[in-house]
Amino acid sequence: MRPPTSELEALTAKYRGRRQALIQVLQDIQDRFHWLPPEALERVAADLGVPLVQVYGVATFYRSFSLRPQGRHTCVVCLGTACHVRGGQAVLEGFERRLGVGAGQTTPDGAYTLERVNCLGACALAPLAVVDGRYHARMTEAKVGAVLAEAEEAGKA
Amino acid sequence: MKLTIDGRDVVCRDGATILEAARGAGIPVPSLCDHPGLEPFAGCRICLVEIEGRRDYAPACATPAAEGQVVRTQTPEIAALRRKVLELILAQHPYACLICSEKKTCDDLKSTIRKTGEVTGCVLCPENGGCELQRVAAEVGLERVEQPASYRNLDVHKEDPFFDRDYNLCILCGRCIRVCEEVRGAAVLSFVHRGGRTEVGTALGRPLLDSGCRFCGACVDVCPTGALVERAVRPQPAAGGTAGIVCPFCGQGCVLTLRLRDGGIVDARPAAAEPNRGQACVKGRFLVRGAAAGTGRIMEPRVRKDGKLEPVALEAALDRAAAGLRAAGRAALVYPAQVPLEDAYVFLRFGRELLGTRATAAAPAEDIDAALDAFAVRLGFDPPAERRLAGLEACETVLAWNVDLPRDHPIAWLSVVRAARRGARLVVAGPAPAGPVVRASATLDLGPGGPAAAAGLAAAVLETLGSGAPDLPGLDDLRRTVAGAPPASRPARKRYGEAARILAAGRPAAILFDDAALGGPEDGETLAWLWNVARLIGAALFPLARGANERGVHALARARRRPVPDEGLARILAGLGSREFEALYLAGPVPDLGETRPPFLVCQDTHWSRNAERADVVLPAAVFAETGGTWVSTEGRVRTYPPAVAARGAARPDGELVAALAGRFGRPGFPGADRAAVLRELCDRVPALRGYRPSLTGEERFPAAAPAGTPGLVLVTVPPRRRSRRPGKAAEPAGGPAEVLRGWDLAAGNRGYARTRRPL
Repeated sequence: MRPPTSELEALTAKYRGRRQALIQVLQDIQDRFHWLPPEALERVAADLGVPLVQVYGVATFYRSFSLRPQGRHTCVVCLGTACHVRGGQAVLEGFERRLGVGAGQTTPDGAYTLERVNCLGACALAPLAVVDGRYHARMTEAKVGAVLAEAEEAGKA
Repeated sequence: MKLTIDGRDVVCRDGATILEAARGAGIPVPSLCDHPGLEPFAGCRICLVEIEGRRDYAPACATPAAEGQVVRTQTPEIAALRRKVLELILAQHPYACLICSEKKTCDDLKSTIRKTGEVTGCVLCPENGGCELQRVAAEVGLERVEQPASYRNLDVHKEDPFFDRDYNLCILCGRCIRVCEEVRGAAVLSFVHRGGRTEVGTALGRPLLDSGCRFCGACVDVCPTGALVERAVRPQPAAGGTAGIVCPFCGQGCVLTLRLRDGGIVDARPAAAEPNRGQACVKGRFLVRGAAAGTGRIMEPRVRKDGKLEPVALEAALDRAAAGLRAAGRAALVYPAQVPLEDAYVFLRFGRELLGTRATAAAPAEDIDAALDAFAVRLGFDPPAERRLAGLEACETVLAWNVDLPRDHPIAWLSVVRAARRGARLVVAGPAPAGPVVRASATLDLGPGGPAAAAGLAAAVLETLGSGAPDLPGLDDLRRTVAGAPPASRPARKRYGEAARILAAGRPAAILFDDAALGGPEDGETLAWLWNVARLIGAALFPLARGANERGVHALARARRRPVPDEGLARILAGLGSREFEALYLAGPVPDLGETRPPFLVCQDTHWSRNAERADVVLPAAVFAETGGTWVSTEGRVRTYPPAVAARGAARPDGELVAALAGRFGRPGFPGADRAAVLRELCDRVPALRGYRPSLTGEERFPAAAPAGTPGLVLVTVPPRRRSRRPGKAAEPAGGPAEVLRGWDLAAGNRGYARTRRPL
């Protein structure tokens, strides 16, 4: 979604002139809109007094910032060593088939973004998928539909 | 400070790095990311050295030298380490040629060259021969690279004018990023992405044109590889050698080094000399070649026959010009302000002595010294003014009055950047932006007009100082004048108060302006108010000359002005309109005369223009690089350089043409042909130039005028405050005023330059 100017202003106003708050304010914007739209970067640069290119440099450095619109729901599939040997790849493919997009992409209706990571540090739960912050341990390809339906329900509630 | 490097005792200044100490002692240490004038970065790790008592290896560029330190720069361990580091750097840079066993014979045999659109080796790289990576690879002695070559296959950025950006060749030394931010105050570039994908880039990957880039070329000049290279320019030492010139494009008087080949200019690069210290701007860096090239040049004398301009011999053209000018009842002369003193002086003498006319004026006529002279009459003495950039750099507070410093005074801007990086505060009045790095501490919009804004600022300064105002003659009167002014709006008062507090807080302070900033018929009023502000807060007026030889030409005209002043350019143009002149000897750039063309028109210029096409006689003038000559910068530095290239076609230096014309007025031996003699003569006539010894190093002349009376306040009427919510609009078109170097229109002559002049 395109951020309304007033909301952006509200997010950046409290950091006005504080260069050191750059990552904090980017996190706030990422949390609120699920991505960092160009106008948000420009707003941050102007309000914090940081050159735009440096804001962009930080935004592209960290994996947790996205410069493309993200879906309303985020599915993260772990492909770390433990998850990999226990079938993580099949789980990822299950998500890909179900959503019709590859890892790193967002469904055309803007509902889901699919991501793969290289270890979430919860190897005992392998294979692991995280949907909207909920950890699904010992995932299988067969559970993908149910997990997505659950996320859909939670979103409505 | 004393230390030992490679067993040798080395002395260096306090605060020097080990790299500086070693190089100062003639001990070579290879490095890639370090660059004089930039902060240490320690990114490339090529300059690693061993320091006794330290367990790890230290980057020499970022490690301060210490008393008694024992440093080793050449050990087998360090050599191996440097080779490994260089291997890693080269993993993403096409290196085949760098380690090729046939490298030495490649130029002769061309045994390995292939046709390809990508730079996959040095033989295909535009920087081949001038590349620092090649030099360092030779120094480090690299013979093989263990990593497989990984070509990044990035798209080459070709969307911007002047230079391409091929980040396939980039080694991420960060010099371009640092020079852009630290020196130029622009911060257009940064590292983007991360790890193996790290790249130098602009914000949101936009073209430089949309990123606030001013195309000063500093990034191109510091790039150690072929990633940033001026288009169509090869780096090899030019066969024709080099020549130093003073940049003809603006008043700052940068020294440029031309590289020459086949009697032409290959490129122009900034010299290390003052005032530019290795920096230039878009004009000096990228436009010099085009301004001196053949395109659009007037190559031979022409005379109008049967309505058409026909090429003739110079003698015939001069005969016709002299006959026409002598036959005219009243003739006027417009000479170029953008020429060396030698030529301007000959023009001046010709106008006064042979045309017998006071209608002699320089064009373009903008002249900061004329504005100051006018103010001096009112003041009763020459207002003292600071002009030296060193003085600007030492300021704690800078007020930039309606000037776009990065665009119009880019080298003075570098002094402001240096001051700001030290902590100085900048107040910006007017629409000109400061920049993303040097933020203005306060901004003032000029609202309905310059004088009103300057008066508002003076009022705010008086209020801020209160009873602490210096006891200057006229203070009470000034207070009463200001008190009688209509009150400003509350937000305006707040902003002016903020600016006044900043200005009153830091000494030394300077108020920067040029003649365009004063602008318009209310000229003297703004200057008077700025003078009052300067007196109240103890700041220096800092006038900036825009034209290349503006101060020198002004001094010449002033020295010859008494007892009767010459008429101004505006007066001559008006006289042409009212058919007052029967002939015009036109050598300076003026707008298309159109219907106001006099019955007889002689046009002497470097390039064809509408006016040249309308002329009866056209005389071909040589350009700056062909004439050499003496130039005075805004700082008052006088420099002389000899001709760098031979004149094109039949073009002759202006002074020579004028002298030849004078011969036809019955004045053989009129000065002009012997430029050295002309310089000696004019130096005798201008007090500030007496005893000047010509050189490119130059001499600082034109000392700041000392106050001859009590430097008190000047009473000015407070201009009425018009209600306007809109910020002050500059009178010039978006992107700046039309810019010409005599007959050469910068934007028309260089399309890349025209693209940079869009408003930012």
